[in-house]
Amino acid sequence: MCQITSQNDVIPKEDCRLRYPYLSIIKSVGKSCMKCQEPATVVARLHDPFCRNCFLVYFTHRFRATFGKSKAVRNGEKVLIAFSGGHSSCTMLHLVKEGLAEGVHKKLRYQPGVVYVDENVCLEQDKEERSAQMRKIETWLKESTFPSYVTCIEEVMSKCSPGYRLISGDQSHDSEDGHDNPPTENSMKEEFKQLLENTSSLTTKEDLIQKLRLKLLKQIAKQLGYTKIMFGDSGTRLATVLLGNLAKGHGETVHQDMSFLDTRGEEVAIIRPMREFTSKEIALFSHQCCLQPVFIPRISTKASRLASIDTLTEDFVNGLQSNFPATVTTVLKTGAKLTSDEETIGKRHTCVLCQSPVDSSSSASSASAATQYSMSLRKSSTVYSSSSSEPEAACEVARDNASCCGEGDESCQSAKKNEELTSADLSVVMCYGCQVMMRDVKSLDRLPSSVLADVQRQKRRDEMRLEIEDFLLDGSEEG
Amino acid sequence: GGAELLFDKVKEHEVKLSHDNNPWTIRKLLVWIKENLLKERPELFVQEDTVRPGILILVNDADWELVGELEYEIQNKDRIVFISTLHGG
Repeated sequence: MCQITSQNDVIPKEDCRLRYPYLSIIKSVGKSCMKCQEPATVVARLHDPFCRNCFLVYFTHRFRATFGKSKAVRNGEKVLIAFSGGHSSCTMLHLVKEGLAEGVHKKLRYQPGVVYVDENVCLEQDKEERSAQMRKIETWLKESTFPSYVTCIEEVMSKCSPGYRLISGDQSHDSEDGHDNPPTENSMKEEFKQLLENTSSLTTKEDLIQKLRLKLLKQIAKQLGYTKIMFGDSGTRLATVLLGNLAKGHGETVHQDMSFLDTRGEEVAIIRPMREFTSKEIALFSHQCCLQPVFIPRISTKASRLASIDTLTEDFVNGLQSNFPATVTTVLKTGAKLTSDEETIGKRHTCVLCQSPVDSSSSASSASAATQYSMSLRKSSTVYSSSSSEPEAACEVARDNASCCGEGDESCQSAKKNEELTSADLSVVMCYGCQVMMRDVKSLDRLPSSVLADVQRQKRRDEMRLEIEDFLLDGSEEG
Repeated sequence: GGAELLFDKVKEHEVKLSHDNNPWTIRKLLVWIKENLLKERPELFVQEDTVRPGILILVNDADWELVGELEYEIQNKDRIVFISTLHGG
């Protein structure tokens, strides 16, 4: 029953493993694999013992079944794999490669590509270490045999489309080499560093990096023609993200943040096939298959458990999971039941940072209205760079400068000069969670130009809408 | 998975433990590691008398839960692997 044929290359050859006399020890404790009664090696799921082969089969089967069941990926679709070098990403890439290998009977054939986002600008590392890490990453990318790209997180600050570097694979695209113009690259690095320096707490830094990374990946996927991005977030990680998001004010988006298929954003959707597995199972799988993940330190690597909301939540979930193995599944199942109000989705704006719907019609007795009222009572607003926070004044200024720009395609290009952002602007263009995050950023002008451009465009469209409101046929019909 | 950062970035340690009347259990080993091999931030590796949740221990490639966790008595030439799953990939 657990015979693995040589055609199925999931389990690598035995010569890369040293043999250990563990059989005698395990037999003495008495646990055998629940499937084939061989001595058990790992404990997966709740308390189920598996032998090595059965565990690998179970893991692979679960991964493929998640894909098949969801029908999220169609035949021939281009899917971009976001690779970070950690256990989850390596396991996911390995499984995708094995799943699409020749000789394996699969009905689903999609076209993957791999992208790696270099975040060295967030945490400067030793040059030698960094080049050693990059070599390992590039080895991984090349061995995947899929078209692979490397980009840097600071490319999100780019004024036109972000640059990237082609590592291997298909030559059919004209790839803009992001490293062609060093002066531009350095200035983007500096801008990104300044953006991070302008945020005071680690929580906001992590959140901002995560949102900008997602934005960058979506831009690159769109450029290269990919319709889906695959992330390697494990179930444990998603449970942590869910609880952390509730604490940070992103409660509206929890369902999308941890679902298998995330359809926020116009053209590019996100899939998370590793959400069925806990981080323990993934680490065991990658260890058993001798995969060599590349460890790259992040800004919160050696932080204490109280350093940020994310570290605290991670500590909490991991601690609970070790004693109650059903924690992660329970949290994820509960999160799957929390959905937002679908009726008003069509009328809402989308947040410029995270593409979630913005709730612009909160009632007078809602919690967010109360928070905003108490914020406005605080006279000293050192957060925002504008002198006036009156929405009427901003409208007046815009009206004075308003003149038709002549563009007929719904993009209002008038008033191109950079108006400074006010708190009223943010409440319209950003979801509540992102607004909370922005309170921690001292100077909003440091945000990437694409984000600021989106804010301005949204503002102008709203003003235009206000002007022609009387002429619209029906409030719910968009012209 | 990053745990090596706390050990001066050395991934593999060959360790000779002295012969004692009391056999070496994982519990004893953790204390020994904390005192001898851990270079910084002990709270990121050990918590009270066990390993921090999120760090897996494999004894000869088998889950430590199957061999008795902290009470497992270490044999000669055993290979013990610590994998950190915090900071997932």
